[in-house]
Amino acid sequence: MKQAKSVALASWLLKHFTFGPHREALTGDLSEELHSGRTTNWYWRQVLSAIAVGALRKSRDYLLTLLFSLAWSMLYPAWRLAFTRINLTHLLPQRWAAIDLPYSTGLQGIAEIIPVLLFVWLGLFLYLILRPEKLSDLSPVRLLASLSISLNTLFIVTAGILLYLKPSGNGLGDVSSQNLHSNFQLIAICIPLFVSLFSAIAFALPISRRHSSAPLSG
Amino acid sequence: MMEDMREHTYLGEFELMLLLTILHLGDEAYGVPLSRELAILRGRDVSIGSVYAALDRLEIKGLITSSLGESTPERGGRAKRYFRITRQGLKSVTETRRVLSKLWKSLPSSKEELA
Repeated sequence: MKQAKSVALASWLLKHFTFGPHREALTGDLSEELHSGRTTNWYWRQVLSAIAVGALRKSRDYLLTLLFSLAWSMLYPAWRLAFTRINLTHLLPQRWAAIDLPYSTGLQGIAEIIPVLLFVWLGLFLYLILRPEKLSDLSPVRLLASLSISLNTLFIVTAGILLYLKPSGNGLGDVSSQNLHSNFQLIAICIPLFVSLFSAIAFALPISRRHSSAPLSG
Repeated sequence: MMEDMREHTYLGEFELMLLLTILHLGDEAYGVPLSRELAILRGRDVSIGSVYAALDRLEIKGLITSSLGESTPERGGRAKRYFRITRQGLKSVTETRRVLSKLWKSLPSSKEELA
């Protein structure tokens, strides 16, 4: 009974933490080996090894995207400062504040989001410019979808972080003003930017690796 | 010559072993016999995950091709995936063999001389 549960857990891990076109075949092979008399320990070793190998390959595939997203999101304070210097963020809300509630609040919210979103989208376009060899895979529909994904991801992750920060009395709004360079809030604001940019790039440029070739006949 | 070098796909040790095992197994080349055969030849257990990772690499390079086979109850109803070498794969194996043979021939034959 205990052994069956252990195998079931390993199989669940295998199903949810391995990737690639041959996942089903790999799962089938391991089941076949287990039925032919292999031990539960052997099965666990194989499962953990398959997960590790898969994770390593996946991270290697996305390493450049990950590094670029991370580096770009770290530049956000400079972008925010530049935005504040040219006074765009101050001009718009002042005009919008004159509009009656609740529209003024909504418009102020949009004014806060615009620089963040522009920053993420600029990062995406810069990445696309830096990888011209990948542009042939990108269709306008895919590009629009990736922009939309970045926006949604940004909202979801930011909401999650706000919920997390709320009990401690911290807010992301403070980041844009005084303590922009060196605190926990900076990291907190970089996380949604990083995730948003990474998801946009990963969706815009999926890794296509198939290479067709004729099998040897006979 | 340079064009040939650019077009040629160089094989890693494990990839070459896999290609030779696929050739050896013929129509029976799927995950289980492949990893068993490799384990016997290498004298130690082989991670099936690593075997599939290498098979995926070889397929991307166009050196092998795969197709789904039958499923059995022992496999939880999952189909077997059979692998076959392509013309390009066979060319690559032959080329690697030629280069390795040349290299071995250029070395002294006895262990003492090698050391």
